[in-house]
Amino acid sequence: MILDSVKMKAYNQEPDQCWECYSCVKTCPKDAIEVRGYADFVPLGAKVTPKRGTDSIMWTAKFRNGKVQRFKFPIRTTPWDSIDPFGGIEAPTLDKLKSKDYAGGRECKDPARFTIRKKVR
Amino acid sequence: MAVESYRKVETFKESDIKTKTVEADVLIVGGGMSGCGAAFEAAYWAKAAGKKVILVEKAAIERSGAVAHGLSAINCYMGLSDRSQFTNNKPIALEEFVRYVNLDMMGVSREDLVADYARNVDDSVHLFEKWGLPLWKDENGKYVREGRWQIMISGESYKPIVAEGAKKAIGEENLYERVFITHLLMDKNDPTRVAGAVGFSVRDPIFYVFKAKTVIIATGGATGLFRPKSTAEGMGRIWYAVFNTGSGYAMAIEAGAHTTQMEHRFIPTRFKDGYGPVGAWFLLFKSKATNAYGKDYTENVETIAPYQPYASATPVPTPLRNHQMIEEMVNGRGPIWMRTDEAIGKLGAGDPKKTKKVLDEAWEDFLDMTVDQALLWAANDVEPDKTPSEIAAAEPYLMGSHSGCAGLWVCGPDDLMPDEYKTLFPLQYNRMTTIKGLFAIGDNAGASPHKFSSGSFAEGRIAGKEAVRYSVEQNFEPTIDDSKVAEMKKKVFKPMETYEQFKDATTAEEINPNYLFPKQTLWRLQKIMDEYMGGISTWYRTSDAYLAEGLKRIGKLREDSEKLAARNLHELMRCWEMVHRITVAEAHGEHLRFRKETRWPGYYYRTDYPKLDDKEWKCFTVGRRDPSTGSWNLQKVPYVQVADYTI
Repeated sequence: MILDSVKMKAYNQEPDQCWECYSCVKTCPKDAIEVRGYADFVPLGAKVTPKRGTDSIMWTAKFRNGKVQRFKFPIRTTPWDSIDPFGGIEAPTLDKLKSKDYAGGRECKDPARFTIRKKVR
Repeated sequence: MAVESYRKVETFKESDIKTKTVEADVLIVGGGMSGCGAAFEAAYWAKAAGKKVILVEKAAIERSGAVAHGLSAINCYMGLSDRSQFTNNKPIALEEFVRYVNLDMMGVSREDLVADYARNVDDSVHLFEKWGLPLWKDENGKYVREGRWQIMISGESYKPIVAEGAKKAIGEENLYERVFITHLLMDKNDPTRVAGAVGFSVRDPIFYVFKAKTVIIATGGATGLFRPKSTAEGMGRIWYAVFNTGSGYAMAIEAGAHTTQMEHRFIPTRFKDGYGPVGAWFLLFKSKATNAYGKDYTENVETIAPYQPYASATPVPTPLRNHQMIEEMVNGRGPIWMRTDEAIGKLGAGDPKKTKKVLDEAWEDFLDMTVDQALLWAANDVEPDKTPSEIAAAEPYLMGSHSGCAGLWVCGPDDLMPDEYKTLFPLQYNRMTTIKGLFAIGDNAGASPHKFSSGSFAEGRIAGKEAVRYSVEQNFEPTIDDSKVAEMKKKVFKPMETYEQFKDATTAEEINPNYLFPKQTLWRLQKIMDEYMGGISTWYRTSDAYLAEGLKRIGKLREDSEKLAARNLHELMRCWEMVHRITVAEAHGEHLRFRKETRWPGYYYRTDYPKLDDKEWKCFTVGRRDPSTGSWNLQKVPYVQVADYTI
């Protein structure tokens, strides 16, 4: 998407390189973006519209025959911008740089489960 | 389709473009799942080591990479600490996972790499849950299994959540978005070491020089090499991310890194045209797929009988299931139908409440990760509980994280990597390529498939830590050759100069004997690959004679890519993406030619060598393009079974 600074409206400058991932539709603060499905194979008349909130997303699917279906799914269980990436994780020390420990450690403590049984050669 | 006519034409003279130099210890190229994993882990160890980590991304990491859409499942989760449901009432053993992956690759995979991400992947999934990703849970609080190795999620915001974690880990000041990397830089004093990368802003006239002790490439696989099934407005509706253009493969190849299994491609079977996922249908809803006459073609064991012992594996390897379906279609028994109606009928068992639950789950499966398939259903008034939906095999994609294993030859962990694999590595750091300081992860790491989103993140973490260790242990200060950088700057912006020089030579700017726009180059590449290297128009069939001719044509296209033209910075990015794609296409052709057998029927067929040949070819193909001559050299590296399992 790119802004036409004269009309002050955004447009898709390369429709045939669009993945129709709806990222722009979901993020538009004015809900101003709609998707008309690829002309190659999508019959006209249907519409799928998201309304993305902070913890869930609402979808409205309008069928070609006029039928409307609505769905609501969770998207996040914590507030946005709340991640503390290393919160509660032990501070790193250089002596562990050669080890196979990663930030936060291993939850599975049973070596019999996380160790690969190697084939004897 | 026509070449786009951009509303905004804005070219820059090289002399008007500022050069910005940025120094770092660890440079991550690409902010998808693996890049975010690398950023998180590298940032953690960098704190103790006093090192600087930066991430460069051509888009914005909130929605970049193959998980941009979202996902409805995490396809790689072991469950070693019993957070998930058991399958068949017993816990998972890692050796079983390695066995499954290796057989899905028809017996050839880097089991050291697979076992390594598998033993670490769970902790990354737990991190996602802690950060806020909604995972489905059953009445006992256990993660819901979609299949033996997969768990269900409500993953519309999977990538924004992971990106938030990665961004906070490295700090926003170390994130460079809307910057496209075109080339790696080698060290002036030691040309066997990587010393950074160059690129440009796709928004502003800025040329970037990143000087770094290590570079981690995490740019995803390669799409757009082959002519897609939709060729007009819908050519962006391919299954794998349309913006993954093979850049990491290409830049590493151009720098002289070794490739592996670049002949391998993934052909996903998906809902036709919309490319909606089939995993939930086959695994969770236990749906069958049938031919036009109602027969379940997966029962045709004789079709795959020549490919033993792999044909007897459970589950049947992905290429062989494709092969069974393709045989139906080639022999006039298509179209192929996913029997959603029957599956929902069985699960709902006449209970409207149960039926509604399955229908909601089915729609969520599409809406979470392939909205367009939901739109296609709505546009065709499909009621999945009443009518089946068509499935089909897609065009080929090169990738290393799904059921695909094309990529770079990377070092494994010291406790698992067999001696046979060690010889090409000048230094041993986990996930480092055969170039000192250059790491490859996610789709870019070869012969280690089935990582999917979670395993790619976990692999990024492995490499992120190792890159910090490299920068601590190696007594190396990168030195950049300034004259080389000046030369590269000129080269990178040349397509704008070409356009300005010749745009008035004809009355229609897109038809011009002096240059090609990137879209025209894309069409030509896709035609060559489709017709000569086993694309959809030949039902994935090729031979030495076709490959030789295809490579000749790729060679001409490479020459013509010197004449690419760009009308704005966005199109300049498209130019360099095409140069990258051409290099990957060439690698694909060279590797295809070298492996004289048909190891993955259903992915491609060598009509001159139609048999699977375990005696000669149960091995890795490892290639290298000589950066000074451009010629390829390929060799076999023996496959070694690392994990203890029986077929």
